[in-house]
Amino acid sequence: MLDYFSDCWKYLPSLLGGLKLTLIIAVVGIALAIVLGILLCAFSISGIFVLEKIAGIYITVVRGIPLMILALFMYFGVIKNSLDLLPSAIIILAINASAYMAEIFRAGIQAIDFGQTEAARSLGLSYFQAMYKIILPQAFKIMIPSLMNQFISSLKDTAILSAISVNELTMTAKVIIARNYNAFELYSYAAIIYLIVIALLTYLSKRVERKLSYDKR
Amino acid sequence: MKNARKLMSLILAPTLIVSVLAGCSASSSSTTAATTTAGTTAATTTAAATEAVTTPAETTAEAGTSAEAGTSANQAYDGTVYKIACDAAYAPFSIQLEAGTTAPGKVVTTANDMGDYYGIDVELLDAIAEYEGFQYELTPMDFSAIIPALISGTIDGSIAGMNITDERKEKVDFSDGYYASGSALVVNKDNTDISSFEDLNGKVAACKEGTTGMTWSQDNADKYGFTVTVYPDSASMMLAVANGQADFLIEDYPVISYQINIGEQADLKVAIDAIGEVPQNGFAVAKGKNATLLAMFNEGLAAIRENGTYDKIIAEFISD
Repeated sequence: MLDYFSDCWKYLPSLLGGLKLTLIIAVVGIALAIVLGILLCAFSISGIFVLEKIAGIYITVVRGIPLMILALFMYFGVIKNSLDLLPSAIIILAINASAYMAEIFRAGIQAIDFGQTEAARSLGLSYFQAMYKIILPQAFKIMIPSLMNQFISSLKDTAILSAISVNELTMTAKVIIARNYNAFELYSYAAIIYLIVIALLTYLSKRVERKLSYDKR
Repeated sequence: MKNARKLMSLILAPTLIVSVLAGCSASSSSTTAATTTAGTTAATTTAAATEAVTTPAETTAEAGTSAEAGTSANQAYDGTVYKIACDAAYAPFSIQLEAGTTAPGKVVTTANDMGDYYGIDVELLDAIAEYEGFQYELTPMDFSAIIPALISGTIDGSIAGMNITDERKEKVDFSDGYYASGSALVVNKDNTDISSFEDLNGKVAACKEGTTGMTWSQDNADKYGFTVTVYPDSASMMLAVANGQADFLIEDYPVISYQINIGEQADLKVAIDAIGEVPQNGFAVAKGKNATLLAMFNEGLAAIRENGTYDKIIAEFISD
């Protein structure tokens, strides 16, 4: 068994190179998705019919399409030659995650009793003040587990982007396997790397959650 | 309240167990379905093979006249109907006729022609058999099954786009190479600046996972200064070059040339038609067996090369 895994140092540099790309795409993609998601969430709770419909259609369409098809469609059909591979990959992941993000934000905000908004308004706060000072701080705490969930999900989804030749962690492993046929070893290395990164992220999110939940134990 | 919670968990627990069990049984039943499908495919192949049996009948009619033309190798021919395998699907070497399609050089007239085979391998074999006057039964089969079938004696010979390699020579005897089948470097049809390996500096290669093209690209990327992108399938790889997202791709020359020829890849063109070593395709028989068949094949091949039939057949599928 020890002998079996001794090979892993040989492949580690290229696998870590793949991990780097995975992390860049996931982190930048999620950051973009959060911005897009906030915008979409604002649309869907705005009370303005047209904006609500736009957000609704966007979310339905994006959530209804598998990421693989979204990636192939965007990269080969829409983006074509206008962008490099890396920005294309980031945008595709951001589009996919933004729909889920918007729903997470909306759910968080709507979980706070509407009575609180009414109370704030009756005390003379404007709608935005009530949102900013009363609702959002509470909503954010509720959202953290779901946001972390989405982040982990998107991090693993980067593997699907190998369909458009993004050389991330899974693709790196696949390309090495294509040459030496050691499928079991290389996939297990890749799986362990994903596992370590995601375990770290989970730990981090637990810490943040605990810091913010000063009112609960 | 406490009772309600207990009740809830009592209801939920069986539900979960049932759903897990349902999940298991669903997956096992889908496996069965897959097996059944595999079975059906096998059945279809057999059907195709049976249909291919019709060919020797015509061959027999002409056998007498060809034999009179006087070839030396067929002196030992005893009238056996050889079972000869071709690949079940390997355009342009062997292609199965589908309803509504027309094959170059072959007109589909009756329903009987459906499921029949055409392609470089099939037509060359037909021409050689006709010249030499031997009878055969075409047996399309999965490529990986061909060498085992030769060794076990299920089939007598094979013409399946098979490259002549030293490893295979240990198991089978090859004829003379009947077709040089190398890899080609393919670019977008609007591309004008790639004509030699030196032009690849700073370019982006697209290749398919696990192919010799991928190996070649990775081994030569530093030497010529290009970057390598890997796609999971041929369609994406070709699309990337057609879109300009990659500058060139590597594909088997006959395969890509045939696709360009029939208009399937109109946005691509071949820039360099031979990369690295160019292996020869050979007709194979089991080691030490069917020497007569092998000799007839070699003699017939030389003859149809000389009388122009060979070039005519190749030109149907490959444009130069």
